[in-house]
Amino acid sequence: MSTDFEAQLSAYLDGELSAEDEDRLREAIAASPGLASKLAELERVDAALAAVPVPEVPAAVKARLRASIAAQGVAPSARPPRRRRRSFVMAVAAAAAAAVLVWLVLPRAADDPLIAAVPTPAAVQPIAEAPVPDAVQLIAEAPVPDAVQLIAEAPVPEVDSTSILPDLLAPGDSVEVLVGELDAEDVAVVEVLEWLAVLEGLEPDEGRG
Amino acid sequence: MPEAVDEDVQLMLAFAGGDESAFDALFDRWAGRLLRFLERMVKDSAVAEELLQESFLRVHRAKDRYRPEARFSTWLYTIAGNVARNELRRPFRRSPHESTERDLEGDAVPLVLVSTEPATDDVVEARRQGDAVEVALAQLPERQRAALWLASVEGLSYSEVAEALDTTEKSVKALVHRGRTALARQLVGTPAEQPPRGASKGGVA
Repeated sequence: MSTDFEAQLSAYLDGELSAEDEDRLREAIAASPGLASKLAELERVDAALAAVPVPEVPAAVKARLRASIAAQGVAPSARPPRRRRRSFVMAVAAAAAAAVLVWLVLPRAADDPLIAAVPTPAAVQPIAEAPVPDAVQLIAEAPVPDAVQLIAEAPVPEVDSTSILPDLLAPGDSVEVLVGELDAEDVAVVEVLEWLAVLEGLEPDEGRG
Repeated sequence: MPEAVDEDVQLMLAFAGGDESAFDALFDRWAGRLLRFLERMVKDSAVAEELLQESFLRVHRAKDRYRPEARFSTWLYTIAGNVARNELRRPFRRSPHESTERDLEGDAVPLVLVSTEPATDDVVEARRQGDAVEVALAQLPERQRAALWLASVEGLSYSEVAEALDTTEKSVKALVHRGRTALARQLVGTPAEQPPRGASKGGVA
């Protein structure tokens, strides 16, 4: 059957057939132009593959190899740690900041054109001047207990560690009060509050006419 | 067939005996071919260079364990095959064709697998075929690609390929056959062996 012979063509090219099989295949090829042309197609593949040039090996590869070999005897060097340990407080505060901002912005974005125009905190009036009772209220009621709890558990010095934000913030407090209570390390928390102030403070004053 | 005296085996034995220059000689003899193989396996010249370095580092480390039971080339391609396989199994591996080389704009420089020598008409035609076969080869499944390359280009016997790829001769025979047939179809531009799904038959340019 020609199919059987066809399946043997590749092994034939690689010299992997037994002498007996090879003889039979040769006869079949001689008798079948179709089989002969299949063989020619496969031979063309081999010729094309063989024409792939041997690349030049950059000298740097050998140099690096030599360096690796030289370093082999030496114990693995004490590599510097891949990342510096970040302040846990900062990490938690940043996470909380992201959560609060997302919570605050998302529900409003649809109908509030101001969201898109919110500038950076620096561009806004000083926080101390901003009357932001609503923002504070928002924080107190914010459905982010996990984040707040995380902050509460962080090793913040000299701050009541049971539940910082609810305790520190009462409705009517200004952001200034809170800022005064926080340690300098808690910049990220302050930033959240600044953003809250920005978002709330802008609304009444800068609506489009 | 293994040669009666494998010059590479002699060099390896000399190296195992403490002759570092024999290792250098082995590198110079084999690095280019091994790099060409590794480039086909990982499809990225910069990564292939790293793997070439890793392969020879393993050769260096293995000198005390080396036994001249097989041709040196078989042993070397077994090492390189393992190194390439590890790279391809690596999670979050760089995608193929993404080079670590950067041009002035910081964009990745695409891997150039084709020759850049000046072209005559013959060379142009050969290069056209060469480009086609490179593209087709790159599309083959990894094991077909490796088996076909080792058998067709590097001249390893099926039993040697089986050793290098840690599989059986029977499997190698099937892999090489499928790979070579697939490339032949690509080069000719004819439909696949299996019955065509559509009505179209015949060459597609």
